[in-house]
Amino acid sequence: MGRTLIQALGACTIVGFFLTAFTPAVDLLERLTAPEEPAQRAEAIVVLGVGGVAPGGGLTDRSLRATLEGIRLYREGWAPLLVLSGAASGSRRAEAEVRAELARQLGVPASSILTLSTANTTRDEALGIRALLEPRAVRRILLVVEAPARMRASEAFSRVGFQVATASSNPGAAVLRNPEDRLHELKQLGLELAARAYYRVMGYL
Amino acid sequence: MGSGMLLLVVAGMTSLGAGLALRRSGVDTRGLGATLGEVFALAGTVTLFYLANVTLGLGIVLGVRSLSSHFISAYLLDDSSLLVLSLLQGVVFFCWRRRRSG
Repeated sequence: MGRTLIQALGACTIVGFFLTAFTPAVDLLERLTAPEEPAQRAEAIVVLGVGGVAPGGGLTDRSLRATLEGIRLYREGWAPLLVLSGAASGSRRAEAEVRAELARQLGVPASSILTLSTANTTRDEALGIRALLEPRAVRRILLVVEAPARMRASEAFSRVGFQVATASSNPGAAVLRNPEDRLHELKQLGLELAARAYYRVMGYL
Repeated sequence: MGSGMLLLVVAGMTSLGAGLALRRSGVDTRGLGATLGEVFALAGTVTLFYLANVTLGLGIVLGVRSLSSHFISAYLLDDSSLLVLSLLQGVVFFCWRRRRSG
């Protein structure tokens, strides 16, 4: 690659860094790629796996946030069923099982909780949760998912036959970000764009 | 004052201080444009390494997934260490190339 091209790439990187870290550009980008939408009543709340189980056996911060958001929505009566997803990693327990334990401890009846602990990807979660909910004739779901992944997850679940509304697993996270948060968010958006492209190529969306 | 503004002010002041110190010590401070060109080339080299590392990493993740029953999460690549490694690769490669050409 020519030196001028490399210099242009470097200049873009540096300008991009300043735009991302010190302006609200990434917030605008996030709003464009994953617009906020109000929660809607559904037949089941589905909390997608994210972050997994920490080496100590507890949920990671990201997983805990999503689980608590799902429990909050359940307790507010947005849906009568709570589906908790999350596979096992290595010798650790499945994220879904740890989540279900927490939900029961926080007062969600065991009869209202379903778990899926075998799916590693959003596509597998969509198929696995369809298999779980189909016998109950559940079509309308409220999907709890991190903001950058909202559109891809929503489309992947719609593709397998669900009517999907979404709720962010980290509501309010976009407010008062510092530069490091914004850089992290840009990285998440980049990963999400790559995942979206892959899902398109594979025909999952 | 937001944290972003504070960081910019701090970095601006130390840059200014270093520039003034250089001037006082009699170092020729002309050629800032050429220096910026070098910085852009270095940043570009680091960016290229980062993109190559992420692309290769994704390829390995997808390859392992499709060729075996073993699952590797693509989110393993979402790690700041990869950025630091790319930075080191970029700096070493850039300096090495400069030494060879100059």
